[in-house]
Amino acid sequence: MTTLNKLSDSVRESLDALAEGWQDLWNKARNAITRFTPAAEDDVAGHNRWGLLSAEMHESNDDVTIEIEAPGLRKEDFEIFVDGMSLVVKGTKQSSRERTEGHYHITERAYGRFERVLPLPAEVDEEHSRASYRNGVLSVSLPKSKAVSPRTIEIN
Amino acid sequence: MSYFVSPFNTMNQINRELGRFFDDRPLGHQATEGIKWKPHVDITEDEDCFRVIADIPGVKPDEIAISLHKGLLTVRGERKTDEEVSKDNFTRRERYRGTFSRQFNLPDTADESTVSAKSAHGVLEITIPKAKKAKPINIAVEGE
Repeated sequence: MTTLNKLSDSVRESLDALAEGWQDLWNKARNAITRFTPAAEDDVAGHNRWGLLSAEMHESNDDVTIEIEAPGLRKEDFEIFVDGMSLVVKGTKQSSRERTEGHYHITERAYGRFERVLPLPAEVDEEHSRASYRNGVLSVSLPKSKAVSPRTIEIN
Repeated sequence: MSYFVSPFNTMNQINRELGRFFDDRPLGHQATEGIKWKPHVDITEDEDCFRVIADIPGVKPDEIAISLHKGLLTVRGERKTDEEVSKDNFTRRERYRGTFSRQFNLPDTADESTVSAKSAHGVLEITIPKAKKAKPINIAVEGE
């Protein structure tokens, strides 16, 4: 193999690694892209209609915990419920009020109604779920239904 | 405002959204940690001040550093990994951990000495008042 071939091979390899890493990152983030529907009065031309609503789901023996990055809401702006094997999170991000008098130089944040449906890995007990909202991150904790918790069977 | 919706337009918006979020394309990076990212911002201006409003969820207010030097406003910080959560057993992982930073050139009309910032629900708001001389002054026309 000539030196040139070797060189071009190694270039191709590193480009592949780059593309793969970027693709992987892209795939993970792509799911977080959520449509925002602004209320009529907030519908400023040029405003973003797509925002990132990054979610994370963690499963342990007893429960499923979900964290969603949703900055700029109030507790009462959320509607959260379990529908079958999915967690549904709805919310409304309000554009900040009396700002209508001024004008925008840059608008990257998305406002309005959004909805995300996250498939759950196990059946959960909705009645004993808990949620909190801190620093713009919504945390939902859903205990797994007792029937499906894995149980250790002792051998006599 | 146009009501014509082009599918390419939507695709472009989505692409732009992701492109804007990631600062550096990580080389062969497979993880969601140690990434450089950029918070999304709005910048508004009214008669009295400029406002920079940034979405920075999951970062405590005291972990955001804001500095101002020669008209360059810098916001930086880090979204840290929760220590108590084990790294296994994630069924979904879209949140990115790592450092973020953004810089803005302030206009000459900004009054740098009175810049203030507050943070609530993951939204940082920096208020940059305008210098007095920059505010528009109405001049009354006197009649005879």
